Amino acid sequence: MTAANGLRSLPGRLKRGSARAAMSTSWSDRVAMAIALLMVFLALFGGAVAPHGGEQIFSGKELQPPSSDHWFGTDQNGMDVFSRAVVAPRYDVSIGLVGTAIAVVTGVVIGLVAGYLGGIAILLIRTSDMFQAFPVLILAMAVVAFLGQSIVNIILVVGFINAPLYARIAYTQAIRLRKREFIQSAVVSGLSPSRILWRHILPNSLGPVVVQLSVTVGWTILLTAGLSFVGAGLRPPTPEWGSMIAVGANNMVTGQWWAAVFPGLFLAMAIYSFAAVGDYVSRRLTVAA
Amino acid sequence: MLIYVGRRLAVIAVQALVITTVVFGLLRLLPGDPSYYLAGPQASQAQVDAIRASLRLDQPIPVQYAAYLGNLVQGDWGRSIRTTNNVLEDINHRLPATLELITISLILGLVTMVPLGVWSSMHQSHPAARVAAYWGRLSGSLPDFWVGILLVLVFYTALGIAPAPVGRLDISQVPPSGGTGFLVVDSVLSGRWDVLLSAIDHLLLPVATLAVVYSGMFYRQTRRAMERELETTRVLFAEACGLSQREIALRSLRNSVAPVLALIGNSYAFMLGGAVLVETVFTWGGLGQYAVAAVQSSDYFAISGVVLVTALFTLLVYFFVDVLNAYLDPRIRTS
Repeated sequence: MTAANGLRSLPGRLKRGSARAAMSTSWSDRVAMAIALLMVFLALFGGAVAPHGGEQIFSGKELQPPSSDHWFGTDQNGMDVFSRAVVAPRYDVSIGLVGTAIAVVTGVVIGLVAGYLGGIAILLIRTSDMFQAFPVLILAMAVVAFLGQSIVNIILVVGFINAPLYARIAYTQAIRLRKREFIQSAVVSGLSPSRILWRHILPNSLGPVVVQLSVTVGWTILLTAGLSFVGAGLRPPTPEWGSMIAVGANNMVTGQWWAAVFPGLFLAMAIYSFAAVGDYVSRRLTVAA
Repeated sequence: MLIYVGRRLAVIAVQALVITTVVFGLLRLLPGDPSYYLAGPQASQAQVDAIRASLRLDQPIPVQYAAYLGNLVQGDWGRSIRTTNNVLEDINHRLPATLELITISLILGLVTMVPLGVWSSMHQSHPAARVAAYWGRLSGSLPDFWVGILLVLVFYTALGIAPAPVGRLDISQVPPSGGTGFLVVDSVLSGRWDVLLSAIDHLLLPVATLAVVYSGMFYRQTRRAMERELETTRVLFAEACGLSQREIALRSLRNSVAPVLALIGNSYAFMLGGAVLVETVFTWGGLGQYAVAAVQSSDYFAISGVVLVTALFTLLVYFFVDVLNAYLDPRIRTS
């Protein structure tokens, strides 16, 4: 009947079918994972792979179109676009990874403490819920501008801006776990609250956190590039995708497209790969659960 | 229903108060004394002190907060360093440009993606549904500012059919005064068809940019909501009773309205703060560009004003979504 009318509504059949689809690793999943790994690899060794230095200036060779010397051409400052695009993960991807780590650690700690122990931490949760109403990008721009545009400040800002999400997830998990028998028997056997939190609540609440990780990395990269694009993040000559696009955009209307198009392509590939890996992980974990 | 709206309004009032507190707190937490920014680099210490006193920065925090709230309510949102206007006035001038842009983008995105999402949920194995699903995952990963630049490259630089990415109208044209601030609406009301054409012409690329970037999300959410609905035993029963596929889809649609409404609310609110980069690409002159300029010139009150107005607008949108949901679903009203 499902085949006849096209509606896949038979619950049993649908579940089996979708479970199989979710467990299988399609070629697009593999490509995404490969790109994500490549991005991490470039973050570590991009400088060694790039044919030229990321901040090396070829004077007299400004705005050269793509050629065998400069695969992606040169920008208006005479810097090699390919080398810069390859070195950029050192900033973009690193900020994405470290920023996400900060978001997870602060968010999960606040969320678990608020969910299990309650107290003043609940106030923090309520406040961080309100942050959903705030314009993230404008807020990040303003805070980075006032703190000073250093890499450390950018990492801290993009990290803390994502912390409320994890605080909310961990909070929900902790509240759910608090009522479970194994936690209650741990309480009865006299385990200290900190030990219960660390040994029992934390490991059992990490599932939904893991699902979000990769997506946050991608989103943090996008945020970093967006900040740099409007000049509120990293600035040239630092090789960073967002600021490279901003520099390249100056020459766009006169037809020199390469300085903006290629870094954007790398940026989109990085964001897509991390988002797709997150998607894959979440499909696998939801089915397994 | 009225009780529900009243309760919801009370919640919103509290939330608004929290938001002003957070914005105030952020202003205080940020390093640097605004009186130095406001006084400018050549000011003497006496001038700085005078400004500090006029801003009440020399007084205790609770007094400052009370004064801040009082000023907000009276419409005094502080003076912008860059434009020297009252920030509220500046925002009033620029908000319609952004709202016009995001409203049209949102409508375009929904009108195309909601039907596509519904259709895909019913024809999951169709090749077109697979392509659409792929687009749904890809589009959100495209940096909006980059997409905007690409569109300019193709349609302005290469093909020459789109206007230059500067502003909402041709330079020679004077926008109709007063009205809603929505050029598309104002030009129709005042019968200025040339302005209407030019406004639409300038809207095309930025609207397309936002539609491209957000369409994936609209599609995914609609499809997921509809698929979840079609998996219910209620639908299975309807099928067993021999209802046509069309009939079932139409009835399921109503139950998928709540998630789609939530989606509309969330994206509308998000786009207001998120259109910043697209506005920069197209020199749109809206709230987003104002925010960027404010950040670049350390324009203290302008930044806090934009953050505040965006956050309050978000609350308002959530409020309308909740009320609409309660209107559609009696269970929400009575719980």
